[in-house]
Amino acid sequence: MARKPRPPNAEPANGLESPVLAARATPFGGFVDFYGYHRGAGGWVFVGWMTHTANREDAPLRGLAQFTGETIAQQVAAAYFNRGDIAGRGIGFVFFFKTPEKTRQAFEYLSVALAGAVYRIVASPKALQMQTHPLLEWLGPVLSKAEASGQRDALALLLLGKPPSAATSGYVDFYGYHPVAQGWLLCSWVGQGWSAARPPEQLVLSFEEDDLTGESLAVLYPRQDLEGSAQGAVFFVKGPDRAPGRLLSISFLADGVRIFLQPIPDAPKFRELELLAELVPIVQRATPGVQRSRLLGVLSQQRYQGNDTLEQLNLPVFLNTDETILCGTAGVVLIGWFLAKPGVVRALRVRSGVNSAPLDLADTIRIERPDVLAAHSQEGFEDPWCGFAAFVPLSLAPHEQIYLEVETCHDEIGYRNVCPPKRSGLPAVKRLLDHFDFLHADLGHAYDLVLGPALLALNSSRLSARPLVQLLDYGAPPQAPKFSVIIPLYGRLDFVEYQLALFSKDPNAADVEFIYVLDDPAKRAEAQSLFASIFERTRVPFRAVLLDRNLGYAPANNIGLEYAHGTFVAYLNSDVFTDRLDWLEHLAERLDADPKLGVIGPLLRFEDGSVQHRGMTFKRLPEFGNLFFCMHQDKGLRYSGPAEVQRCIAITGACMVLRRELAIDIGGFDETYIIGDFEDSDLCFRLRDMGLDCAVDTSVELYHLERKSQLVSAVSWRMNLTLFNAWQHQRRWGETIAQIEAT
Amino acid sequence: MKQTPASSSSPLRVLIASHSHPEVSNGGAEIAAFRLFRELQARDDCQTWFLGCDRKLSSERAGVVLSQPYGEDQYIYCTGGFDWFKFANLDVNFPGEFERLLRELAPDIVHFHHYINFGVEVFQHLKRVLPNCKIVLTLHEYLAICHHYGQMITKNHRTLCYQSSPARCQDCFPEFGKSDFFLRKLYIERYFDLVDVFVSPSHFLADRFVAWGVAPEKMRVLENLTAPASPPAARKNTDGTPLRIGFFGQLSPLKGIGVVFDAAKFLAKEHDNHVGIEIYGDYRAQPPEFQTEFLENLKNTGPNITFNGPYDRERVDALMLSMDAVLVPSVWWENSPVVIQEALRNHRPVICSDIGGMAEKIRDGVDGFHFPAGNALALSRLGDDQSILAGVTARMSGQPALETNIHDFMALYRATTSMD
Repeated sequence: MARKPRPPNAEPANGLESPVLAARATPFGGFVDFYGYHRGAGGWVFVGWMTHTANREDAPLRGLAQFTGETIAQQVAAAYFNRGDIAGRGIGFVFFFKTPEKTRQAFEYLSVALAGAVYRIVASPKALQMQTHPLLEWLGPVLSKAEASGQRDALALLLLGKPPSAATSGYVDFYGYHPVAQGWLLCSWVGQGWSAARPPEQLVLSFEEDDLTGESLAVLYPRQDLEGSAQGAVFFVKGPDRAPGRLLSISFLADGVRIFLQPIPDAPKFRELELLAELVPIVQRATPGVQRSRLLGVLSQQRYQGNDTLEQLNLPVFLNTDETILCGTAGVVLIGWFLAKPGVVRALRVRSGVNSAPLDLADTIRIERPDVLAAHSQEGFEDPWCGFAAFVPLSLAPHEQIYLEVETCHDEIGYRNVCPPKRSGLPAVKRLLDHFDFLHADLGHAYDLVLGPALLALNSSRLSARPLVQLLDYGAPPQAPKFSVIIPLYGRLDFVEYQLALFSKDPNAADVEFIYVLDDPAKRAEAQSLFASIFERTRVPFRAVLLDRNLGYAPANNIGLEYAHGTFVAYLNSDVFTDRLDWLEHLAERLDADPKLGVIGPLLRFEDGSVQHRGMTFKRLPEFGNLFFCMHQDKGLRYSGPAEVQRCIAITGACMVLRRELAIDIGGFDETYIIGDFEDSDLCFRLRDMGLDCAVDTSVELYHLERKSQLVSAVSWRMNLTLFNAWQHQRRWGETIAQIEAT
Repeated sequence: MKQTPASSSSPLRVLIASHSHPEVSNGGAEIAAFRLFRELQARDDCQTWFLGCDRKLSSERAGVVLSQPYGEDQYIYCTGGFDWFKFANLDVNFPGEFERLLRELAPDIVHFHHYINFGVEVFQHLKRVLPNCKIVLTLHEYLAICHHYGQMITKNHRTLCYQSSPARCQDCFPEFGKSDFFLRKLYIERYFDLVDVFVSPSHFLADRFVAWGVAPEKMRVLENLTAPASPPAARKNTDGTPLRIGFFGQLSPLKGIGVVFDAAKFLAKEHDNHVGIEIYGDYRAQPPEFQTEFLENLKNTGPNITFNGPYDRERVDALMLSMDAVLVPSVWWENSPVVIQEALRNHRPVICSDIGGMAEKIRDGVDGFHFPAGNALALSRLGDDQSILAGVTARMSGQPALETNIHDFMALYRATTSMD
C-alpha cells in the first residue's frame, strides 16, 4: 500500500469530495499517522492529528474518506486526545468510518467538517497502514489517553470491547488449516471469564499480512493444567488458506468484552492430519452443545481419497448417479437420484480435482423414480420425484475423478463418486434426451437450465474435431460448373439411384456438379458399391464425400460446400425428385433478376401432387412449450395459384438455391442445431438480417417425398431434440418472428 | 417356312434378348423368344443374334460377363447383383460389356423379351451407344405394374387386383412406403420411355399396361410364336374313365391346383366316377408348405384324380392327345399361357378360368369353356353333360383367337425401323 504522501496545502486532486465538504477552500488540515481496516468492527480507523485547536469536541462529525475510485461520506465516530508533541497547534484524533471492506483501495485523504471549518487531512509521509491486530495494539493506549466523552466510550467499546480491553486475555497453543472444511482451527486457552454461552462476535484472525473474518465456531473445554477460571478453547474460522504470514492474534467480542488471544512463542502450525489428531480428543471433552457437535463434524471432514464415504455420515443421505456425460470442458451432466430428509443436507457440490461447483437440485430436471422409492421406503422417504438430471458448469480437470460432495447440517462431509462416463457424442445426446417427457410447464425450465446448456456444450465438443473425409469421384467432374447440388445422405441410399436415374434424363446432367455427402459412416462400404453401380447405370458424374462420423444436416452440408465449385449452390434433400434440371436455371435466373433476393426454392409436391412446401410460416405450439415451429403453408392441399415468385419468411432446406459466395459468407448452415431441424429457417433469418429476402418460385416444381413429420412421432429422443432445436431457434429468432407477426 | 425373299436392300440386323435361354430354363417367355430367334435366323432378309441370361454361370466363371456356350450367334450374359424391386441391374460390368457387344453387332432392332436380369437401364445403354437402333419389348406378365411377382394378385388374400397404386401396393407390402412404389414407377417409366414399341401377347395385358401408363400408340398386340398345329385327332386312349381332363404345368397355388382338388371333392361326394382328372407337372420347386399341402391333398383325394408327375415338353402333344380336354384353372390373370397354345395346337378344348388372358384366348363355347375363376363347384359340374363337350370338340377349328406368324414380326420391325 505504498503511496506518495500528499504535500501540505496541495490542491484537491479531483472533484470527488462531497459538495458540502468541498464547498469551501480546504487548506492543509492535518496528518494521518496510522490507519487500517478493523475486521471485527467492520470499518476504517484513522489515527492522526488535525489543525483544530479547541480542546473538546463532542458534536456529531460529518466526514469524508477519499480512496482511489471511492468516496465514503458519512457520520464519523470520533475521539480526540492531546498531542504534547504539537503543543497547541492541533489535537489528536481517532476516526472510524463504518463501511464494508473492499479490496485494492488506496487511501488518499480525509475531509472533515468540525465546528464550521473544513479540515483536509492527508497521510503523513510516515503513515502506516495496519492489519487489525497491530491496529488494536496501538488503539488501546491511544483511546485510553482520549478525553472522556460519550463518543469516546462508544468508540472504545466498538473497537476494543469493554475495559480492560485489548489486553491479552489468553494464548493460542497451536493452530493449522483444515483444507477440506476450508478454515482455520486454533487450540487455545482463555483466561478471562468467557462463558461460551454466547458464541463469539466480531471474530478477527490477524496474520502478519492480512486479517481474516468468517463464519466461526468455538467451544470451551476443561484445562486441569490451568489455574482459576481459565479454560481451554477451540476455534474454527472459515476462510481461505492464503499465505498470510505469521499468526498475530485472534480477537473477538464476548458479551461486549473484546477478548484478545496471542500465540505462545513459536506456537506450532500443524498440518491437516496432525491438527485433526490433536483436536478430536480435545473437542470430544468440550461442553456438549450445537457448537461442539458442529465442530466435531468439521473435524470429521476428510479429504476425498477416491472412495465413497456417504455411508459414514451420521444422518442418512442417499445419492447415486446412473449416467455421467462429459460436455467437453464446459461441464458435466449427471443423471441420478437423491434422498435425504429436509434440512439434513446443507450443500451438494460436484468436484473434479481442485475445481468445485454447486449442485442445486432446484435447477435440475426432476425425474420420477418409484423404483428408488420402493427400495428406500422403510427409511420413511416419500418423494417419488427423487431422480434428477443436472447440468453442472464445472471446469473439468483432465483425468481427475469427478465426485459429489455432500455437506450436512452437522458440518460433516461425505463423498460419492459419480459413475464413469460411458457415452459421448451422439449416443450421449440420445441418452440425455431419451428419458424425458416434458409437460408444457416444464419445458422452459428443462431446456434453460439443463438440456440447453448441456446439449450446446456436447454438440460443440462433438463437432470440435472435424471428421476424416474420403473423397470419391465417379466419372469426370464438370469443369467450372454453374451449379453445385449438395445432397447429404443418411439412412437410405437408394434415393441416389432414383435421383440420378431421373436426372440422367436431362442431357445437361453432366454439367451439374452433384455432391453427395454420406453422413452415415456405417453405410460407407454399401455406399461405395452402390455408387459405382449407379454411375455405371446412369453415367452421370458425381462426387461422394464420405464422413467417418455422423455429424448431422448442417455440418454435412457445410462440408459439401467446401467441395463445391458452382456459381450457385443448391441444397437438396435426397428425397427430392425430378427428371429435369432446368429448375436450377430457372431459380438462378430469379436470383439474377432481383439482387434483394438471397435464397429461393421451388414449389415442392408430395407424390400425390398436393403441396409439400410453398414457404414456411411460424406458429407457437402450446403443447410444446409455446415455442415457434415451422409450418408449411398449404401443406397437403392442391395449389392452383399463379406461377410466380412469392416472398416468404423462410423456405425449407429440402431444396434451396443461393449464390455460393453468399453461402460461404454466412458460413452455411448453423451447426449448433443438432442433427437437423430449424437450420434452414435460421439461415433465412440470417439473410434477412443482411437485408436479403427469401422466396418460393411456384413456376418450378419438384417432388418431395417427405417422411412422416417428427412431431407426430411418439415421445423419444428425436422429439426432444427437435424441441432443443426449437428452443435454440426461439432464443435467436423468437423476437424477430413476433415482430413479423405483428406487422 | 424358309426363305422369304428379302423385301429391302440390306438384311435387317436383329438382336433377340431374353432374360433366360431354353438351355437354362424352360419358361414360356424364353421359349417364345428363342423360337422367334430361330425363325428369324432361317430368313435371308435378316441377320439375327440371341442374347440370353444365366444367373448361375457368373459364379462358375469368374470375371466372365458375356459368354458363348451355345454357339457363335448366341450370347449369354452371366448376371450379377440385381434389384428386384425396381429392376435395376447392380452389375457394374454389364453396361460396358453390353455396349461393346452392341458396337460389334450394330443391330437395327433389339427385341427384348423381358427386362429382368438386364435391368431397365439396358434401354439407356442401348440408346447411348446406338441412338438410331430401335427397341422392341415383349411384355410377359405384369412385373412392372406389380411387385407381387407381377401377378396382380393381392399378397395376403390372393384376390384379384385390378390396378396398382402406391396405396394398394403398400397394402400388399407394408414394409415399403407409398413413396417407394411411387419412385419404383418413376424409375421404370424413366427407362420404359426409351422403348419404341411394346409387344403384348394378349389384349388383356396390353390394356393393363396402357392403363398403367404405357403410351397406347406404342403398344402392339402380337401373340408369341408357337409350333404349327397338328391335324385334328380323336382321343388316343379310350380305356378307363369316360371323360379325361388333363392338367399340365407347374403345380402352384396360382395355377389353381387347389381348385382342382376341391372340385374332385365335390365329385367324390356325389360318387361321380365318370370324370378323371390327370395331373402332369412338378411340385418340387414350390415352397415346402405348399408341397406338404399338395401331398396331403393327394393322399385324401377321391378316385377322380390321378397324379402322373412331371412330363417332358417333347411329350406334351402325345399326352394331350390322350385327353378329352385340358384344364387351365389359374386363379391369377395369366397373359397367354403356353399350355393353352399347346391344347389348341392339339385340338383339345380348354376348360379355363373366366379371367384375363385365359378368357381372351379361349372363346367360351368355341375353344372350350369358362368357369368362374376359383369356383370348384362350377368346375365339378362342367362334365355333367358330356355331349356339350363333344359338340365343342367337333366344332373346334384349331384357329386360335389371335394368330401371329413371323411375317407379323418382320412387318413390325420394318415399321419400327422406319419410324421417327
